[in-house]
Amino acid sequence: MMLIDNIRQAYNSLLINKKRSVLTMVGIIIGLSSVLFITSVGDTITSVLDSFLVQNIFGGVNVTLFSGYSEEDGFSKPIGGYSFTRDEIYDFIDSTDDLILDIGYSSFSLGTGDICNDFGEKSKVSVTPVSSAYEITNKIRILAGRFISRDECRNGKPVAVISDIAAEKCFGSAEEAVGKTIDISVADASNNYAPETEAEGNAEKKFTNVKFVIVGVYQYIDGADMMSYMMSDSSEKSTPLYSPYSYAGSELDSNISKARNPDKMFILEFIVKDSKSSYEAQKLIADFAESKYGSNPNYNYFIDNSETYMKKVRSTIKMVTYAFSIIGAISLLVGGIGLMNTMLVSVTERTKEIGIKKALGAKNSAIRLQFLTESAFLCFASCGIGILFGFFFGMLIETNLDKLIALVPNEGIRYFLENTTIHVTPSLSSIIFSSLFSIVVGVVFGYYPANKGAKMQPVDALRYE
Amino acid sequence: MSKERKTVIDLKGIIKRFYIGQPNELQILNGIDIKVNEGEFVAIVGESGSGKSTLMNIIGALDRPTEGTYMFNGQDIGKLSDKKLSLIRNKEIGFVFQNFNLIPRTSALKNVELPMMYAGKGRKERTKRANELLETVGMADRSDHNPNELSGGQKQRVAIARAMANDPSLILADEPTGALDTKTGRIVMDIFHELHKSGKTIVLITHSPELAKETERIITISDGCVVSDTGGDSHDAD
Repeated sequence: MMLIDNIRQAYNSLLINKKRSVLTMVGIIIGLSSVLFITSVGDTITSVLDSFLVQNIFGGVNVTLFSGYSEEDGFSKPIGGYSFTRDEIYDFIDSTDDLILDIGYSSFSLGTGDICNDFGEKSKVSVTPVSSAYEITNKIRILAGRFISRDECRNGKPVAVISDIAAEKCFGSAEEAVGKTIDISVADASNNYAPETEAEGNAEKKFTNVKFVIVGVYQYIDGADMMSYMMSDSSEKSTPLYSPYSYAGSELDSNISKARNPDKMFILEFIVKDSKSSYEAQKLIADFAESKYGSNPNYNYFIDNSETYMKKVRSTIKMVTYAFSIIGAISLLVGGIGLMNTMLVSVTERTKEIGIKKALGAKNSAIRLQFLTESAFLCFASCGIGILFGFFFGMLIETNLDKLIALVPNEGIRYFLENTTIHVTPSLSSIIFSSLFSIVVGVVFGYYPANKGAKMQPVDALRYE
Repeated sequence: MSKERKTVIDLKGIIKRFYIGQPNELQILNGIDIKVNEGEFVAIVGESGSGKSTLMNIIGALDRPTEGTYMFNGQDIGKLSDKKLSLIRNKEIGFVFQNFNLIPRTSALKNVELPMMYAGKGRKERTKRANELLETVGMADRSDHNPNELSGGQKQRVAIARAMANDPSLILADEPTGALDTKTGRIVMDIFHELHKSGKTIVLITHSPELAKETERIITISDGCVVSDTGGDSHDAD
């Protein structure tokens, strides 16, 4: 018998019992929508949490080379002599075709000072040494000019990027500030972080004059930078001034910069373009280490990849998503049992019809196929409606995402969310998954009733009133 | 002329029991021997409870005999699978029931098409043949009506058209006029006579002696046995 005839027949017999068909479908639609909703919300949470962790915990996708250490040693060994010069490092980075963005350098502020204009107006800034990758990893929004370049980091150029607050206060606008040279007397901040190294209560601060050329202005977000957020000076509000670590670090001869002398680096953190490239980068970095010290039999090193940790985190989040999907699947199961119930009633009701059809020469398989088509049809129609619902609600959330994000109280998290692409509409994979699942439900739960109908003896079925 | 004819139905020692092995075991048919040749118009007559409905189910390949052999067109019905029986019912037997047994909420045309659909015929061919058949029973103008929009006589005419759909070798009619008034019953019987004239083998099951007299051979059943067989042209013992 032809498929089209079967589908037409199924459609017609479902129309006959409209209310029953609709109610059965509602059960399946609810089950399906919940699976779809949970999987797409799970996907969204996974991807948002993923980029949140990468940005705020790891400071970007990074691969760290520990040169001169084996993984077992840990840091028990004294500082080895297996360092790299800045030129070697940057030659290597330049050779990776932008796979590696820059070395990672995130630090506390080296000290605070005031930007002054000709009229004596001041704005407090905290000099923060960074690499060019900081723009990407911390999603810095540039309002005028540009961020520090990799070349400027390599060569220790006296450049700086200041906040819009400082720019507006001292120069009138962001655009005006770009290109200006500033001279800041910076108070060494090392006492703030390492009080035990200095005499207790020694209020005398060391001041250093540092010159910067402003190349860009960024939008200051309160709490966007977790590090400065936690360490913010309570006495007076200062905004970060970003400068190449190679310049600020050498100018401000603080304890912090001493410990991370950029010219003798043996612990190298590289910021990689994206998480997909991290293993490729890891291989390149291993080659880089080998190329310099590989011939030395005593040399050992190990590489730490943030992606390794992220994988663990991701799999944990995935497990949670799966657990929720199972709950969704249970509601689909309930819908499936509803379907089975409906089909059983339908088969019993149509016993006589089955008898007539058998007398007219319908094979058992034809009867079975008829009822299976009916239940599969119900499920498929429900699936279509469920997907439409999923899209509708997803779209509703997505178009109102701005309003939802505006409800987030923490400015830093809000800033992060605004700069992250969020998709709530069902993904193709979840659509395929749920369509297949619904057909499986239709066939599995339709099979028992269909088989019951197919196995009826024609004589008994004909006699049924 | 009789020797050339093919045997359509050949029942030998047919016994049918129900509830086998249970205390209420029941034997309905006690060894029936009937032979029907191609082109015959046979009436099987009996009181209600005589076993004629059970016999009809066996002749119609809807049920299998408990004992005895039933050869239909040379095939042993008792030994065929359900699937083969479906094929025989589909292609070689046309049923006409007392209560019409049309598929509800399905147009007359679709009802007639149904056996052809199970036979795997194409949509166009089906519709064409179904329309022709409805034409021959005078129901062409009602082809798109559902059974609940038809009178009893009209329903039965559609049922006859449906029985003819796959051009079966046997038409099995179980009290076809039982639910009809005399006038419409007459129309239905006339159609059977037409079919008989065109060479169809027809077995008519009825309790009415008047109706039976219209046929060329009357087999009377009582208490599950053949008590008389009159008017036929060939019914030798073997």
